[in-house]
Amino acid sequence: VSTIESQPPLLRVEDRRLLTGKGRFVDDVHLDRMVHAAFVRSPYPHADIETIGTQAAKDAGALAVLTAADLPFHAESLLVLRWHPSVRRVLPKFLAADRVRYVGEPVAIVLASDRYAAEDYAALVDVNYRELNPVSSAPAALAHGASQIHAEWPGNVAASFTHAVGNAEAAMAAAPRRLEREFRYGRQTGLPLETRGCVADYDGSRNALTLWTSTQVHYAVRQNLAVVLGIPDYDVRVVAEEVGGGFGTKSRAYLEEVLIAHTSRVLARPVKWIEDRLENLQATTHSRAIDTVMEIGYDADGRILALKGRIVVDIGAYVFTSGIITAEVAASHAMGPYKIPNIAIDVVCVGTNKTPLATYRGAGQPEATFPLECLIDLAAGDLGLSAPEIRQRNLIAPADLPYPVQSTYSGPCSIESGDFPAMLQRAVAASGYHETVETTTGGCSVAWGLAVGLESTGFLNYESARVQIDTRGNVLVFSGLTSHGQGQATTLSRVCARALGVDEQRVSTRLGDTQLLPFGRGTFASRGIVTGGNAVHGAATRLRQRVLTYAGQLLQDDPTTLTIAGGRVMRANGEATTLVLGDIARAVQPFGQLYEGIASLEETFVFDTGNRLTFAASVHAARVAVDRRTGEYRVVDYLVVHDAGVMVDETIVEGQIIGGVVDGIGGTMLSEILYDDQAQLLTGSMADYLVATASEAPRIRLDHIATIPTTNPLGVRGVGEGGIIAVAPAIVNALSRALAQSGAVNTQGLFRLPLTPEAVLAAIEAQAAKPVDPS
Amino acid sequence: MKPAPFTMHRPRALAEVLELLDRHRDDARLIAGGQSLVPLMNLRLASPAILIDLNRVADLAGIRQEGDDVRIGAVTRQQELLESRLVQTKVPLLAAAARHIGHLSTRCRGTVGGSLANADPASELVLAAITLGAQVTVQSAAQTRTLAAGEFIRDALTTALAPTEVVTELVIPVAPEGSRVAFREHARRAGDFAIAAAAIQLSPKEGVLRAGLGAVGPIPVTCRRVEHAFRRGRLANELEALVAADVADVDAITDLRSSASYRRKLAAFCLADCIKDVIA
Repeated sequence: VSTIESQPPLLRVEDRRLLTGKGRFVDDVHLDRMVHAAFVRSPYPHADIETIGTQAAKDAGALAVLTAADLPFHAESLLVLRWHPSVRRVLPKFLAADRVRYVGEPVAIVLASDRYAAEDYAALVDVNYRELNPVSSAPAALAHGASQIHAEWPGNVAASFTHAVGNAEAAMAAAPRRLEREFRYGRQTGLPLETRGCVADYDGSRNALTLWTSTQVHYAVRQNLAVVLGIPDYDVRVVAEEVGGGFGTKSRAYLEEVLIAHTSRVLARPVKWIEDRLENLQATTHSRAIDTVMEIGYDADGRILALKGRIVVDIGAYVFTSGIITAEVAASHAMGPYKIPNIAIDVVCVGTNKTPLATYRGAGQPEATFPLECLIDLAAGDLGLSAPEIRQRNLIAPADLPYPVQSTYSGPCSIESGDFPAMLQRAVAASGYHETVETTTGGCSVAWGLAVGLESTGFLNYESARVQIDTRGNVLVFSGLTSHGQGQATTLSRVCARALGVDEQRVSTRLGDTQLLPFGRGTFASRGIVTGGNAVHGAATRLRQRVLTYAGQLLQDDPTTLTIAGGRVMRANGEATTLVLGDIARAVQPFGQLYEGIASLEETFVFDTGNRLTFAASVHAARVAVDRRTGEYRVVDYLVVHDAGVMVDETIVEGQIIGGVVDGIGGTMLSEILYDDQAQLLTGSMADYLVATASEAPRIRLDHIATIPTTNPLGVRGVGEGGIIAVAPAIVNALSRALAQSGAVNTQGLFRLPLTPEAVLAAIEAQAAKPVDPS
Repeated sequence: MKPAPFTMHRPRALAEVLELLDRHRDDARLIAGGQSLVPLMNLRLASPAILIDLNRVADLAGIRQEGDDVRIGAVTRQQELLESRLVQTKVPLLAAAARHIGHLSTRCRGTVGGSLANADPASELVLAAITLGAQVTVQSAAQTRTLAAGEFIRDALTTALAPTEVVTELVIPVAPEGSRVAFREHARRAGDFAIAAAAIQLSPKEGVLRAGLGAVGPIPVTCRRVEHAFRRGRLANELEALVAADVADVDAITDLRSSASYRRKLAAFCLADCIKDVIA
């Protein structure tokens, strides 16, 4: 038995139902009298809507066709939690009324008895558009004479600000050595396997609404529905029981959720809408799309003195409800895990006729890490230092802690724990990293590359949890989080079991339903374990105290001499008492001997981060083989050393890191949402929007170090994004090294993501045509 | 992404298929594996009023040898090419090509006739058929025709098939004893549409090398200079120049996956590597 207990469990508690097809996703919801919705979306990137003819669709049998003119809440918009002060606020309308500004913008909703018919009728909705000149890229948007997307955005600038630390201007001017390069991170999206979708069931007799939706933020969806539709909060129930991936694309309420809820109210019938993949690529928010010019100033010892840059973000046709968060994060984290005393980053968010930008795993951190880590490698090459050595000279070390971090999107915070130098050493040793370029029998050049990533976790304050013990000693955990692949129920059950002193098998976790708790936030920004885990820990810890107090009364003993193990009250000397948790629950509930007017044995806890971030870090080492003839390259070995603090479930942590790396390999090598110069979307299917698959995934090895953060009682760090943040620079640095040996690459040509084999070959050929590489 | 309404016929005999085609002509589309047609219908880029399902037509199934030919029924799954002993031993290039078609799940649905009739520029099966000088048998209610694969495929996504006709068989000459084959392709990911592909069959006793390039231009082509040079015994010495000349002849495509010039570069490596595979 002991050997079984020492093994990690093979299955998470979620796995049996997920693997046997018993998961309940939105499309598994089938309600009596349910009808189906399809959206009419703009085929044009920029056009005036002259007329919308709905009669033909209605005559053909559509149950309803709604346009902007039919929406009582047309003048309202989705709620925004916070705005960066520089944002010129232009949120999208629920349905476009007089102008469309990106391909896929919703114009009308059509309701029918099934989705097939809904699409038939949608094709009959006759929208007359008058085309306007589209703006297809950030440079085009900023060019003189460009079409203006919104009157509120003069020059198509939606926001601009400077993030400054110290005096970068002076420090750069005084720096003995400087390097500047341009970097491009293409437009990408999180591409969850389950697209968005919802089922709305409005009950007119009670003015009550239930919405099943595929979201990471069910409470935010509830708030939007309640406010926009004018229904009391407690009469709106939002359920996100099983979610087939989010990756940041579902971490905000969407227009469609409000619209589908409204159609259910109009028709007095349940309505289902499942986003198809074309809609998903057109209308679910995109991310990345950041061009960076970055200059690094350093001395002859390789100490970084200053960082100066300009970030241009192609934010699309509107500012979505997450504002310009990725731009804020990219600027705030420009320094990475390094002591860089002087920083100035100019940020410009530019409007284009494209899908609005929001978050995708990493949310600005991969975009910040890529330029910095590539420049550091170039500086190392310039000085003849190894990649690990130049990093060791600049990394924030334990002696430097706490090291202040100036972020625009959180309260004052600092890196207060961690050992980055040790992680780097360990990554070099564990991976077998070296800087010799090898040649395979097939003629490929093979080299290692390195990158360090800082991960800001636990963002967005407050998460709540309740822990309840029933009269048979079963423990129920309620959490305000959602789960979309992270195995939250497994992790939270374990957190509770350990804090309370019961077997994990006796604990069951429920989440993804706003009926469970009055307040919650959801799962995004690597916050699950930090905020939700500590909320459960807090509730379970309080409940344990209460149980022991009651036990003391029942046993007529001092509670401080008692403890709980395996669900039984124990004495300090290890002797078992007769009391189990169920006895205590029976004693405090109605008819019980300790009854004091409460209904059940439970505690609720809200975890407060104090608006501080919890920083995690990871060091990535990638081994890349490149064919110099074709530019084709592949990752042949990969190692990540990361620091998650206390790992509640090591397998789940590792799953998050490995998943992030694979996601990052796709983002580095394959994925780009492409538009033509008329702002038409070119990548409308998964045959054209490419992501990494099993065949692109190398062996990924993991190694951990654990330093314990002081920001939270569990001593945990978030792990959702550390897997992806440093992938691109690790791969590109490896590629750069592999090609540089023969003096054979123009590195500037490698700093564009996704980096296609064709672009690699062009970089090789550009160098062949040019005898001296200034880098 | 739901198709527009259509009527589906599910005949069991070839004669019924031909009769339905004759009756409905341009209004009808044939469906077998559906791996290309169904996505087009779901995106409503194709909205045929009538579908004729070939999956139950027994006359169109099966792989058999007849004299010097291997005859492959049109609804043979691509995966069957990989698993068939007859294909592996008698037309090994086809098995080598089939390995690169899509993924296991799409190969288990996609058919030989579907690949031919779809005429995708990147089709591995079409490349193998053209390289080997295979023939395509097509039938209508009125007649049966047999066309060389190179004549059957007219352009990208365009064939010689009339609206009343169905592809019934792919007929491939049995590879001469001792033949060596090679098939290589470059794609963004394993299983994706190829950017460049090359196919080779070397028959030492006959002194014949068959070579083809696919995915580069609108239709796969045979590499005449390479083939002739081999016959005259001067391929090895002039390999690079001959490959370059054959590649230069192809009207290369630019699309999201690759520019035309990069396609040509990959095609040259691909073809030269295939030749080295069989000559070495």
